[in-house]
Amino acid sequence: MSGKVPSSCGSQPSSQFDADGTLVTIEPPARRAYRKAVALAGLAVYAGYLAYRGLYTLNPDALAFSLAVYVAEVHGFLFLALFYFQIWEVRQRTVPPAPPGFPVDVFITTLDEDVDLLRQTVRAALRMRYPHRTLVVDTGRRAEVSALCDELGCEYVAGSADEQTKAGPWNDAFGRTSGAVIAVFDAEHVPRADFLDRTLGYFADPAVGLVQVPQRRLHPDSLRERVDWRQRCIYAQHEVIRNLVMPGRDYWNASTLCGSAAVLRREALVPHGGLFSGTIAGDLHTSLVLQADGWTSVYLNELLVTSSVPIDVSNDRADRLRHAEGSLAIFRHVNPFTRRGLTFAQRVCSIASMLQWTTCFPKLVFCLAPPLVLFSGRLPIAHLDRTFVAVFVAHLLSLAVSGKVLTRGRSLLWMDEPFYLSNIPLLLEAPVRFASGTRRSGIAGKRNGDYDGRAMWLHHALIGCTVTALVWGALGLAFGVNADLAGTGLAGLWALHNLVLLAIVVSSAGRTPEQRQAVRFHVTTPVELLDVPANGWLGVTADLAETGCTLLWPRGLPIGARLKLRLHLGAQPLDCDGEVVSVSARVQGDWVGHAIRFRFDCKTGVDRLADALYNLTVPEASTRLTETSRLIRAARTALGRIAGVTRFRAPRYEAHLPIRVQTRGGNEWLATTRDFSRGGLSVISPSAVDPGRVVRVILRSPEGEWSSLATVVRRTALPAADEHFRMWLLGLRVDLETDLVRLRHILSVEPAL
Amino acid sequence: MTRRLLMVLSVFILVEFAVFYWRHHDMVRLSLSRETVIGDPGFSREAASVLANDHISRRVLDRIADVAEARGEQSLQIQALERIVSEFPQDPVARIRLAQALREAGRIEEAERLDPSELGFEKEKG
Repeated sequence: MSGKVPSSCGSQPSSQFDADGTLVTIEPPARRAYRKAVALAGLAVYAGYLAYRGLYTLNPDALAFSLAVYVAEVHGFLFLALFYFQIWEVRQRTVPPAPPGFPVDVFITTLDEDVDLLRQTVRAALRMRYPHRTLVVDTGRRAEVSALCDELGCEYVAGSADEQTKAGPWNDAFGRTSGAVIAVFDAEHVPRADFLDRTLGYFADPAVGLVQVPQRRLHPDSLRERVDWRQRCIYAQHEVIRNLVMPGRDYWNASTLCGSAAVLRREALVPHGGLFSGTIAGDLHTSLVLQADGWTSVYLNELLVTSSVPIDVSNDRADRLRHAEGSLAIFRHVNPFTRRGLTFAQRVCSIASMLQWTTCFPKLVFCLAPPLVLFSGRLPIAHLDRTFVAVFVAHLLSLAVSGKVLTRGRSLLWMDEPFYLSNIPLLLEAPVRFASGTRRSGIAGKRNGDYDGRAMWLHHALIGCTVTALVWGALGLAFGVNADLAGTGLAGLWALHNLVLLAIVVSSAGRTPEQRQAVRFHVTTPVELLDVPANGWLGVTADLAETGCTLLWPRGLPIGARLKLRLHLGAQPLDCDGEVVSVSARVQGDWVGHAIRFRFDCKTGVDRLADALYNLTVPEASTRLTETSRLIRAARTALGRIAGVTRFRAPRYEAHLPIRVQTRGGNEWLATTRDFSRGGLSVISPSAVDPGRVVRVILRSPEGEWSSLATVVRRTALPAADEHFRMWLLGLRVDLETDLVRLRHILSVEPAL
Repeated sequence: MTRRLLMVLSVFILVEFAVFYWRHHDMVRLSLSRETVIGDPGFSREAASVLANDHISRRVLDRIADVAEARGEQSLQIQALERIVSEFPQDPVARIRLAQALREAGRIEEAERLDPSELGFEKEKG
């Protein structure tokens, strides 16, 4: 499966270790065979549909229109076939131990990102446990970045002023260093302390030239990502890429360099002088050349790098436009059809990467087709009869079912379609820019600004076109201009469907979360107000960001009030100042929500908060949001119960409230409840308590105070990247029925609980 | 942003109404009440213009035939009914109406070719 081993490689002590041996299957053979059969059946149905369409339904009265729709459907088939090829075998990697004594350089590239943002990446890079040398490569040549490097103790490399790509300054740093491997990070990609320990082991195989890990960008509730905290589901377009496409390509030895969160072998880059800077997507270019040179690439699907930078629609667009242009440019430099050295699978995967940037054309055809039908009265289908409807419905069902099975429930049509629609303008722009030779900066910005409606001009135009077409169609039917009720009706439904998707795109782009400067994490942590006579009151956060939080407090606090907060994040509380910016309605029972803006006097507070977010919140959120879909979850639970594997759990009432926990030895700490059931409650605690021990729990809410003895029946360590931020999920059983009744009363929970 | 989009859309739709009326004012006028259309001095011109179109709904053709019959404009009536019969050849009512209109216009042979048995022409001949 690996490519040929270059004769020049093997600078490290050669061993019998083969990186391919770390690829392991994650599904039993029967299930893999089932998925492959579904893929082939889905493609066969699609091919049959295309044959029927081509033979019987092309409309000679509107041939150009009919052919445009048909070509768009053929494009969809190619796209699907290439997608299924990439995820034909989805494998995981076992992690070999890192060999000691590997000389490692770490490059962090930056352009114009906030220095506070870069600060956390540099701090995290310096804290990586494996010995290494850290350099900040600054294309922006900023004095404050140089000062930051001096403060934190890393090296600073200024890029050339006229450099337009990341590769240029990167290669300057490459020439100044000599580490056998180079870890690369963008300014907002914060690595975990064990990043190098988890990735260096593969380089014991002398054929490995690249190890790439996913770049987890947490941006909940945006066009790219939707989170259902209650159902523990996350949908993100990049989740499909991270969990399916990239592991699938890893099987074909076709993993690509994504520009960040990767480790490269110097020896593989030396013949080329570093990264390729001739194209604006030097990372893709470089990885294709490495593949052609015969180097093995590894994709390790572990969340070792996190980004919590919200990217608004303009920056997102710039980022994807760069990728689109880069992919087209690479086609000129490294043609996957003709490039020598690439395997068949690597060629197919490369073509698939490039083809994804052409999806705008079929999407545009599908957006414009209904208005065209409604305005002209001409259909792209020659015979709109029962046979066509039956074949079309079968085709759609086959697509939906095979897509659901192959993507393991991760794909959601109602999220995929708006995402692809949102890409249309930039994907139209990329070929034009490429053809006209207009180059843009090779690095996308990472700063959010005001919502720029111009980025959505095409979507607004499509909405206008669709609405006016619907009105025109309705007028035509009403006044008898158009006699084709069935054709106009179907086109109208199609147009309405497009209209809903376009409205989602436009409204998502203008939503508040898209404009925020920091991501708000769904974190519930106890809060004390040190300068407010609280009489034992405790608050709890509803969400938390580096810039502020939403604080639930038992009573309203005045707007503008300055507060001294103590956040119980992990074992060590964090003290900081804050200001009440706004007060919202009562959001949880009688608790009052307050928007708090943090005010840190020194960087230490910011650093500690960031540490808590990256080491505690992000791993916990990533672990919680693992369910693929509600439907699959329900089916799995039902099957488990039938088989007797899944035990019955009492219904849970989710409530995140601050709680005091006291032991008989006199220890006391604050925790947060996660949920309540008939027999007790579960709490997230910074201290571990052995099962069987009895603790006193005290809950004070606006509805009253509750105190009870409870026995610890379960203790589970929550994931944390750093032991200092280890938290525990404790299951507590309340033995006294009277205490439980009182608790239900306080929580206003139905007796049925 | 949404408000501006809605405002622009409203303007577009108003313009669209105007364009539609400009292009299909004959159709719009034919959709007025039956009495109004019967009394419309421009009916003949509008109906002829509408009949020149390839795609007309059955409802409009029925309206033209109906109003033309009421106004005694046999030529227009027959023209409309012929379009109906050509587009809906299996509709017996349309065929009967056309045959009657042709007979009243003195075009007995054409009427007979439609369906003599259905119309009882055999009996009349006898």
